[in-house]
Amino acid sequence: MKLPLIWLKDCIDTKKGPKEISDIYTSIGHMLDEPIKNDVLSLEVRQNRPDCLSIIGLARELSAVTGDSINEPQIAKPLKRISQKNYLDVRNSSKINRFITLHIKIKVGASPENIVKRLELYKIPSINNIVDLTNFVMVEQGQPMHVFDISKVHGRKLIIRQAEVEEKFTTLLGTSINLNEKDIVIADDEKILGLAGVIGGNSSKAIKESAEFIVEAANYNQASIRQSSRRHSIRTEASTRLEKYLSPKLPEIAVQRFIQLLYDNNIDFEILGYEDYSKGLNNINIKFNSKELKRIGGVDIDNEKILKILSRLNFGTEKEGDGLYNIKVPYYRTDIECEEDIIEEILRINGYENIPSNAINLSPPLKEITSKEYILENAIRDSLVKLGFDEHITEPLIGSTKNPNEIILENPFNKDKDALRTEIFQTLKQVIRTYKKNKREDVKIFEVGKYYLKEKNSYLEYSAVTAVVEGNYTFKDLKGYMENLLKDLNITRYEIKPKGSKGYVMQKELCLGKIKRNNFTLYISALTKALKSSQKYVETDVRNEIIEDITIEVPLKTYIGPIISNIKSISELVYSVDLIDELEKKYLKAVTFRITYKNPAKSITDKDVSPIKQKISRLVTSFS
Amino acid sequence: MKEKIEKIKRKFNKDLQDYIKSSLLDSLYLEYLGKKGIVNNLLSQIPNLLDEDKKIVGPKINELKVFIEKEINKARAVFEKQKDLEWVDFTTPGNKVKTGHYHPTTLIIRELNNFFRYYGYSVAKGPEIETDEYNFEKLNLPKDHPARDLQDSLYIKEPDILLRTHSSSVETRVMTSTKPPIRIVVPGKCYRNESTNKSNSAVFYQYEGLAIDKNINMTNLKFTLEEMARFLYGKDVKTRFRCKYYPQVEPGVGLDIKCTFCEGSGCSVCKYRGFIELLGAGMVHPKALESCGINHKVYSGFAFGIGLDRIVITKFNIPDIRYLYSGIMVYV
Repeated sequence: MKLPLIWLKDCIDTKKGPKEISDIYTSIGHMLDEPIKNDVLSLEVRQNRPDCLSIIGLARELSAVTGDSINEPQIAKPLKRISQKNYLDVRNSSKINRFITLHIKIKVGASPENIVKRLELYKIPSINNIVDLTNFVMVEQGQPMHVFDISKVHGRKLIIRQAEVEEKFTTLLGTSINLNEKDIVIADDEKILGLAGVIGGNSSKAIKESAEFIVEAANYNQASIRQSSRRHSIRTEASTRLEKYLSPKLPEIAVQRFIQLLYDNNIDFEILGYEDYSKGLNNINIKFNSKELKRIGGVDIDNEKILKILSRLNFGTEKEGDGLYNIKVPYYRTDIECEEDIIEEILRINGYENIPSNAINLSPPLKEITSKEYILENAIRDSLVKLGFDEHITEPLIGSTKNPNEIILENPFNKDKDALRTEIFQTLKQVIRTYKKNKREDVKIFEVGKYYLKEKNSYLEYSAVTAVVEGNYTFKDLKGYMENLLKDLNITRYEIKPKGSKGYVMQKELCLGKIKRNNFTLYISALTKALKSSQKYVETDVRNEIIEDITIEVPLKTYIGPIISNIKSISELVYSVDLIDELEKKYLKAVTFRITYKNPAKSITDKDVSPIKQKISRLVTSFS
Repeated sequence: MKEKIEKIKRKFNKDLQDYIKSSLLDSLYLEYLGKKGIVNNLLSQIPNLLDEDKKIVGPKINELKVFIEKEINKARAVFEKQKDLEWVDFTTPGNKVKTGHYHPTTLIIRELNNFFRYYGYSVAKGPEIETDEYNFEKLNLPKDHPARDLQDSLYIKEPDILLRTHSSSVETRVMTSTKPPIRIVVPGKCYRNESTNKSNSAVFYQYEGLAIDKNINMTNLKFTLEEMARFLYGKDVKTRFRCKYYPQVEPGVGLDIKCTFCEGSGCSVCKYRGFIELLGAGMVHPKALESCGINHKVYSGFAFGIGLDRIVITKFNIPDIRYLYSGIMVYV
């Protein structure tokens, strides 16, 4: 909201300068969001305070802090329904809270100078006296108004209805838009005159000499206005106000102020009709206990001060007991709904800077509820970074791959990002490309994150880690990294079950993950199930080992893993089986294993080992 | 004579150790194998011996000569090698070592987790695919609330299932499932319906905090936020605690820090405001407490939410927000 200080000072007697005033606004919730230029403040008014999208609203806020007196703009006497003829027909009542029409005869001419000057400060160009006065009222009081030249209203009646599907409407800016049944329009019996609360049409433009008008001030369902404004990408001074919860009392104030301005500026006019469609107004009363201020705010403010602040905010107070009050909320404060709102009012006018700062009482300590998964994910990061991997986090959004298990977004902002990844690897590809573009031969990357699957009618998400190697690294490097990672997590008993282009990492029936040529994925929830207690120190004494190398020839595409696990399963004395050499020939490959025999309990002799050796040699011949 | 040879051999072995220490192997060579050396001296004595002794002593002396020569050469080789080893070019550049890196966001999350764990907070997790109930409804954001438009959600099944728009959804989950006292922080991915650009990303990280107990009030919130700002930006950081509106809290708070670039006088970094918005916070709205089954007359609590990405890019001097999650970051 632009706030010209000259205009502000029409409504409040204050001696404060621009900097002081803007600091006060910032502190109480309306932050200065641009540097002050030509004594005009630009304020980011609190979302729930549409009453402050007006000069008078902001004057009231300032006065609540400074105590400076308000010059409430004068308004004419309330009007009663006067009409020879019905000028208003509200057909969609569910979305209309208030609709006032003033049928008026007026001599159109140039605007009074003081009005033009004020509007200029707000950067609204002057059109003529009647349009300018409605704009003046909008900025001063916060209530948008609209003028219709009655000679252009066919049937001389305003019809407020919902638009029809695909109904066309050309705005006063000349853009043609397609409406639907969610839009509310102001129409006559043959055409649309305006998109309610948002923008007028061509027929309301260029009022010249005509003499009879309908001046309208209304209050709609704010969500409906907001959605219309967004659907058609039209934002106006009217829509920014009417899309919020303005008081339905405001239209009558606005019309009364408009009439007063006609008097004040000596403009000749005659009121021909006044109609008021209203759903009624609610007066809000709230019980307030000053003890709650202490409980929630933590500050001591005495009752006298509380009452002073509330009275400066125009809240009525009736004492109902010790520190107990019945608060009457002024009509324009649509944001006040509960006791906590009153607490905030007192605290912010008293100054947030006057709230002391106190530590929470820490005893007794709370139970730790950090999940096992979270701790494990961090352990995985530590291990992979130790192994030389770079951590990446990638947007889990992808262009749909037509995978039936993929979760599709209903309203994507971009067609290339209309689905959630079903594998972390999908979005790590971009990182690989980036590394290659940067001529990096040592691609070792990983992400700890989620992948997403649609299963029947449920949308599921799973945590996992995916690590990728490219460039200088071979599959065996990758495998080594995975083994090291699992070892760091103290997961040792698992085997790889090859299937097609991948191998599954299995611990009995539990699938821990999968490994492919250049990447592996491990599932967090499976890993937490496989976790054992902490690692134990293993004494290594090479003097107490017997080592033997055996070489066998096997067909080229022979899985080595099962051979090793078979050898291991022969005896508990087989401490480790390492693949130390692999030589590919034409049809066969020669593989050399180094077998280490060890008995943790006692020293080992050739006599212990020789029967095992025989078994092993029988076993390996079965493979060759 | 034989004893003499043995004696010389023993003396040589002893001399060899001494000469190696004093690196005078050449003198040792001359002393034993030089023209007037000990071995030649022995050889010159051979003609004086008996014929049968000559046959035994001759080879023995030869053996001694070969032995000494070999030992000195060996010692010389070791010595040369050592001399080479002692010279190191300390100025040469080191070999490139491939080390791993944590994502900068992970590092900041860990720093903050450490800070909050000290104050007794646990780390909570929750789903990214959220229901309307936990993401909006229970947070005092009923349908048609304007804040819902601001959030610009990405929907999976309108209007009930969406990608969470803030980490506050984890708050409602924890409040619903856990009895107070509660003290948690939530680092996590959130989503907005917006193409990633220089300053906004469709995926962004928030860091949320929640404390609920009897007698928690705004002074506790202020203390916590000020301590956190000092932890992140150093003890001299100037904070501003001001009133701000968020539907899920009442009273609401905005915490700003004085711009470190212009010291508050206004510059392009702080958009000439002098302060930079750090986070939003407030006392949990009574409706939010009640909707999660917590009696708001007995318990009170505060919540805060920080956009992590801005903190991360400023701390690590990353040019813009796109580097964080678009896969275009390379570690050096």
